[in-house]
Amino acid sequence: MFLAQRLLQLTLLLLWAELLISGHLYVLAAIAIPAILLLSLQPHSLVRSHLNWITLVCLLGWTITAITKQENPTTWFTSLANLLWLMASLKLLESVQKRSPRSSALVLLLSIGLAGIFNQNLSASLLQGSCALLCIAALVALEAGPQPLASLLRRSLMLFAIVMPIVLTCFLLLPRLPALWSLPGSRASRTGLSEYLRPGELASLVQSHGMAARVRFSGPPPPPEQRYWRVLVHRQFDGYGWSQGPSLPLAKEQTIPDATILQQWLVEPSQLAWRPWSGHGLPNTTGLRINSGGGLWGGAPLRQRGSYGIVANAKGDDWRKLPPTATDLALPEGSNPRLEILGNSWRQQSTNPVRRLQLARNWFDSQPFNYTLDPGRLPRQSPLDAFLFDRQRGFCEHYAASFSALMRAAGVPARVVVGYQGGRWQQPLGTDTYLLLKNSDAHAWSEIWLPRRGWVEVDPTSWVVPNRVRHSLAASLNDSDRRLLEQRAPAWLQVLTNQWQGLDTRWQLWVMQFDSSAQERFLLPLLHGQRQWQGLIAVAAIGLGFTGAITLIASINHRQSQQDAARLALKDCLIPLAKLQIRPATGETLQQFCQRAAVAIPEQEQLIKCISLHYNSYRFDSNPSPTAQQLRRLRQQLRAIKAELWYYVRKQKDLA
Amino acid sequence: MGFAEWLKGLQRRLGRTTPQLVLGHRNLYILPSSFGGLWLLSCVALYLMGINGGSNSPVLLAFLMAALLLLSLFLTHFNLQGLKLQVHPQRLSFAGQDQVYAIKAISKTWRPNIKWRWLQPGAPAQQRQHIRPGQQLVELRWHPPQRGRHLPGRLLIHTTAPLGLFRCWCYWEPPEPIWVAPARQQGPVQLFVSANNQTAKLSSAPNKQSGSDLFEELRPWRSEEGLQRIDWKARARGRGWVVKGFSDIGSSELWLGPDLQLPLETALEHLCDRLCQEAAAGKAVGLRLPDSTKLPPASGRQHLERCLKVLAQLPLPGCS
Repeated sequence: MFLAQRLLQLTLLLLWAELLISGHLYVLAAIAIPAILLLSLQPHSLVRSHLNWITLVCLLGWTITAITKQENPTTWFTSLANLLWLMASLKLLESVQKRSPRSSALVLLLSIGLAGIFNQNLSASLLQGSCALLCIAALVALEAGPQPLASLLRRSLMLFAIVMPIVLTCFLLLPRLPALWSLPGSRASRTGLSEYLRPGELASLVQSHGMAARVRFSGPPPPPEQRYWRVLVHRQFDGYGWSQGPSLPLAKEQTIPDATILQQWLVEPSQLAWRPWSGHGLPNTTGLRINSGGGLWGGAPLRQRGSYGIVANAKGDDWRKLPPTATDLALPEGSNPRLEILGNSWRQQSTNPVRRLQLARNWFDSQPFNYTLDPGRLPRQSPLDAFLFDRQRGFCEHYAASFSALMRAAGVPARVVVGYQGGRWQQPLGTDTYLLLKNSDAHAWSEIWLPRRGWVEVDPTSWVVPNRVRHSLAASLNDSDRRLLEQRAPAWLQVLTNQWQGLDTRWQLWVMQFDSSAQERFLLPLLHGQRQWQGLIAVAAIGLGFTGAITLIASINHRQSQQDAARLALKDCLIPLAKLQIRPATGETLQQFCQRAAVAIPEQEQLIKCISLHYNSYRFDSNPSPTAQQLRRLRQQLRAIKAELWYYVRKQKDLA
Repeated sequence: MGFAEWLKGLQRRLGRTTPQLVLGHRNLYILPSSFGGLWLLSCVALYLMGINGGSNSPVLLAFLMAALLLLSLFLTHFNLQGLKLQVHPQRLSFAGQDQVYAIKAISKTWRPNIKWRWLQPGAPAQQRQHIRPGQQLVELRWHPPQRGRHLPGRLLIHTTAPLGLFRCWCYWEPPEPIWVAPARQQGPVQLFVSANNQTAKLSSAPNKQSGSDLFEELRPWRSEEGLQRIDWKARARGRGWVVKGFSDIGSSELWLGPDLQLPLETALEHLCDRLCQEAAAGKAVGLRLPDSTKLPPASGRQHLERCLKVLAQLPLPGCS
């Protein structure tokens, strides 16, 4: 009972630590759970008599917290989860006071499962698995009585190992039910791209090192200057910032059977309904559609880590050929007068959009622009004028926004695209290589419409700082700015982090993102398209798994019954003698065997006779039956004899 | 036939009354425990949580718990299957005292948390015990209803190990009776001393030493007994310190009987106590009862047990 309680307390502590680190605990739960845990360490009559009051106070606190958090409607699920975690700690307190920890273990298992919705990365999953193991060990401890912790954990691990093939079979083969309703689940990312692009916004975002996405390629990755991953397409300019504007039509979902997946994306939770992609190919995951602006629409904000593949599209990218609308040329008159004048001057110099683009590049090249993470706040009045003609210090969104506005002033349809550029190529040992995109890779660039070519990407930032695109953001910054980007972790830790992220990527893609479509992809080739056999095969495989598990347990039991610990120790001790071809004969007692062996090896006579002496005294002197201590002593004695016999055997071999 | 009678008949059929019971498929029953039911509900809840929350962690946990549930069906059954139970000679005991009913359990494997419970009303609380490999004496508390020769009744043997998800059980009615002598209570008894038709006082108890030529038993030696009766031959052969007990066939015989002035049960209680006292003192006594039952004077444990069994068997007042 005591051991079970301690194991459950450890489980709650680990769960609390995981939830605290991931930031899903409300302040109330973050404080109350360890406090309740402390109270549960020692049964106390005062606590027992005031258990109802403690529960009432916790519930009251939770109600107040939940009401204050209801500004965001998606937090109700987090509130309920906090309530369950709080109740799990209270149940544990009750079980310690009233000695009934079994139901507490069950509530903790539910809490672990709930934590699995919020935290899905590899480290969290491992922690959750350990918590589940501790809960099972606590249940075993309740039934098996007092025993050493190591033995208890060994038994629990053995149970885990025996059922694991069955669990994997169920996971891989059992048909997945579709979601009956949608849980809000995890929070969206706290940092990330937003729907409205204000000047200076990306500059602060890139200082966050949070992970944004991971991409695996079927072939080699594209060269650095082609690594543009689009997310949002901003078409509406209000004189200060950019937004998406009127919604564009979505293309029909297309499925391309047997197409090779060019890119496999694993995207972190995001507040946006748009997913990053390269702009080439087609998504092969249901629910993803491309709009006429070239954005990949996921239908809803990504509340969980998501995965999708992009396959090749032989027909080319349809969205690039869709002609611009009036929105793509709109420029609020008088919002940035100097910019309008400059753009107009290019319009008058040439009617050819390509020539106007060249004039813009020439102008950007001629100006002393400074690329910086700390551009300062732009004035609300004529912000782009202030950037282009006065300050000339800016980050990528300043250049992209200004260039797109200039192009519109010059009569060329233009828009701003926000997404990621570059990324870090990760090559962890033993796992697949992938491209890691962080928030610090956030980038903005422009797209202009050129007749006969369609929408063409233009990155004015690359004109100002070519290293930004060819190398990395850090390479394009001055020393003071680079310090803002620096990670404080030492190099060795970064290497370890990269390795861990590699494993995490594999975990995410193989396990966490294994949904019904992934199951279909996995099973169809194995079933040769005969999907109707899936249920039968699943049932047969699970039955086989259980048969194997039961056979294994029965054979372990049989082995234990046939050969007890003392017998095994004796068998082990006689191995060195077997090396010298001295083996027990059929019907020979241990004493007779030892006498025979002593005659064969007279130098070790005393030692060999000790085997029989110790074993027989253990077997027959103990009244009524040997204790664990006596067994331990016998094992030690036999081990010592074995070591000496081994030494003798080796010496004999060396002499030979 | 009413439902209660049918249930009783069923219970009778379920209970085994053989002196040895090997637990197996024919006599073991298994059903999910209430905790197992909650566990199953939790599996369903976790699975729903997983598929609706878009996370595979709860789904994996649900599969793990479901697999453990199914596996523990077999593990719980294995925990009792193959256990051999044998009746064991029971010690004579006294009414009104908590007693122990011993059962020999023979197992090849370690069996954790086996619970034992007598099914009679007012039976002691359930006992739990871990069964070690080999032979083990399981001592179960038992409340004797009154003096007499009793069968212990129906025993429920059950387990929920290893996870508490299933409850596996069987019934057994051990056929070995337990003798319950009247409760011990100090008080007057009738004394009859017959030595050539002369009445003697209690203090003139016959000298055992001179008349102790009928060997009765061997029993462990106690230091206060002196060295006279130690079996030195046995000691020399390494059998430990034992004392020879002898029946008394002396010429002066002490007989005890119930005091007929008192109610029978009280008189028997007094007699029972006196018999024990005399036996502890090593004196030879005979038993003479109103129904003309006689046990000739002797000493030793076996004689005492014979006497107490006779007292235990006397018809209870009000019974024909």
